[in-house]
Amino acid sequence: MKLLVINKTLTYLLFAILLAAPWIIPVIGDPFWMSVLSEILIWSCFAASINFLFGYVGLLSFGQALYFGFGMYGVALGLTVLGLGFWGSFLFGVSASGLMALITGALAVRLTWHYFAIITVVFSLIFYFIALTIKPITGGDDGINFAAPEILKLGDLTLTIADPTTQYFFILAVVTLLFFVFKRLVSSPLGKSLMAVRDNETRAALIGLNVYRLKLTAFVISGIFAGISGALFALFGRYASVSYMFYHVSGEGVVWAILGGAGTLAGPFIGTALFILIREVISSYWQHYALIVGAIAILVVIYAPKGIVGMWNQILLKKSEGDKK
Amino acid sequence: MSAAPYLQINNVTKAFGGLLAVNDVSLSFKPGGINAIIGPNGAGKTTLFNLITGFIQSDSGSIKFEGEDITSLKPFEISRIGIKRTLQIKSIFPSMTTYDNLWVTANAHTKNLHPFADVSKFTGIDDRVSAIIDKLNLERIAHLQAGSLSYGDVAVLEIGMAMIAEPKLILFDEPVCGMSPAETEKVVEKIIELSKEVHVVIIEHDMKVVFKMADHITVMAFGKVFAAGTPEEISRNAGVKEIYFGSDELELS
Repeated sequence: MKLLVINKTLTYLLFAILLAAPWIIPVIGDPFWMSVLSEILIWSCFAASINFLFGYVGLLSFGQALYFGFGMYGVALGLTVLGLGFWGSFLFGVSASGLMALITGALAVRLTWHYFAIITVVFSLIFYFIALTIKPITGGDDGINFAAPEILKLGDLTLTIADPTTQYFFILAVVTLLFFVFKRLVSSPLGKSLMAVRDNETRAALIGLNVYRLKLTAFVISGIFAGISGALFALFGRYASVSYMFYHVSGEGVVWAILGGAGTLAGPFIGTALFILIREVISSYWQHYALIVGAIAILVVIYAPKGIVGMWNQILLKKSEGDKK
Repeated sequence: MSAAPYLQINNVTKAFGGLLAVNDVSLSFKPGGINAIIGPNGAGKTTLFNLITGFIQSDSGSIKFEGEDITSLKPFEISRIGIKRTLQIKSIFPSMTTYDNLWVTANAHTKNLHPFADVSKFTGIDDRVSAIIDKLNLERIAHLQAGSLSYGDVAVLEIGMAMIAEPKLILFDEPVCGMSPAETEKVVEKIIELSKEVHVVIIEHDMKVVFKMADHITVMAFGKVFAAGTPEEISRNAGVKEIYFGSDELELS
């Protein structure tokens, strides 16, 4: 129980820091860190999408960049071609990624383990190359640029992501909501049933669970999470590019999720934050920062197979057991 | 013998490549007492269970449960009808606690997949879980991870999972395999008790257990039904001894 209290306190503390960040960061450092923080928030949703599938359903997807890309292009095309406005485009992008996850997932979740991992990569590669070829629509590697749209217009009040603080709070609100929904999902009957599938598919079927439909549901939810992060990233960068649909983006997400701690709520956030910070801090001194990322990845996998948050929970658990004795 | 059979297997055949694992088997199980299936390794007993529970599809023939054709249903659909099963290699959800194992099982039966409400909101399911925990004396392991339990405890948990969701028929595949004598006795007692409420069919190798529990025995060999009858009849059947221990006359080739 102590473990829960400590982690809950830390979560609130983190949230308080995130809320106060627009005022703290300019005082202690360069405002450039605000955009790093925004990036961390956005990519942590992407890692959460991978974590939902791998940590709670046992499906390791190496193709989540596909749904990230659909979210991204949904927003870009919604704004530039379809004229859907801010919320319309956002919804369009997220629905597009959900729909794509439904179509590809219907085939992919029939497979298990490495076959599943491979087919997710294949799907993402197919659509990556398709997106590259239809350059008139996607802009290829150059991508599509667009101007910052208005979030809301109420009389004299205009909210737009052109204002950095408004943009930050918009991102923070969406990401917080996503993690809140994530938490509700994994502690619901649906979440427990998904964990049953992760633990033992045969037994899950024997107790009357429709394993295929459960996996597909999880795949679509995960696709939507990835789509939300893609949509946010498009709005944040004011552009969409095919390069974000490439599978190394998926791979990076897998690393963040697993090293942060798959199967934990905070894991993806911690993993993403750590690795983006390493990249930002070290890449300005040394261009081979990826070597350090690799070294950390190897160390974590060997010494903390449950990831950083998993290790933290174990330490707390041991401590509280020691206190009892 | 007037009661109608609850499970009817009609001319079911299943081949794996050239091997006829189950060869034109017809069986019917009638209510009242425990039905046991015995036979040497490779006789097709577990394959028969796999066919009944939908894990493999038969090449021909049909299976009916309480008059309903279940031949081509999927495993989860068969489970929802009320046919539950334990596996030869004990099968539970290892990373969950005993309590949660029972919880998801009871919850699956209600087809509840609410995506947002917390699990603690569904008190009806908690009541069901508590009842089973009381009945099987699982209190001491209720909040331990199922993967860390002793073999005997896992077996009892698996039985609990078969019991919790209003079963009509429970298929036990070697329920006491690998157990200590004390554990065996405990499990046998549970199954006998259970058979007063639901139909029970067991596959078992331990003859002591079979003859203690069963009211009707089916002997399988080489994918076929070799003999069937009361324990008395089977123990007198010379052919049954032969398929278990081989013929007295040595065949030299």
